[in-house]
Amino acid sequence: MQLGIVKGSVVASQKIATLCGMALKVVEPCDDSRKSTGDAIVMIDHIGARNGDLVMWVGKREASLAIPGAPLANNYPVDAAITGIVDDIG
Amino acid sequence: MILGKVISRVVSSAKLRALAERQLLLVKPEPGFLDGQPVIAIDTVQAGPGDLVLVMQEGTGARQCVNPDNPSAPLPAQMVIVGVVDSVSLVDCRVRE
Repeated sequence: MQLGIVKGSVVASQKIATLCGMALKVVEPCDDSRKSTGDAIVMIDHIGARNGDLVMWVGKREASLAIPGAPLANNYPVDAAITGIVDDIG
Repeated sequence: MILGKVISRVVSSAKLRALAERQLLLVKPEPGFLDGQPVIAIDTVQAGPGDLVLVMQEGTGARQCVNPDNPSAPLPAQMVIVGVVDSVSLVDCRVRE
């Protein structure tokens, strides 16, 4: 997992059926001093992170396992997901 | 796998259930690994800040290490600390700074 800061949210009323009901957030990857380390990524959010929150996120196939109740073998078209809100590092 | 140094613990009270009760550590990869950008890894070997650790970065292996009794339980993570390194010796090896 990596660190990131929530920069905003995405609303898409017309999307693939399997993504219905999922919140989408724009997250900018960052390091432990909150300095940006790369381009922003749109990811699913089942935690309820708000703008400005420091979050941890996972990419690639494991992102689809961040959907509560998703089985190991699933077809969710997801490549990045927020896995938790970071309270403190240190 | 990569080598990295544990910087600190990561405290998160709002996180996915699959990650509950898992010790999370912030690891800074050693020069030459992953561009040096810090990553969050699940600890399985009781590592602590300051330790040089071996980090595996593959989802299937992560599930097998974190849930050895039930490796098919979904785990939304790739990075797992699988060892505390005692020593490294490099012979004529060029690492990218």
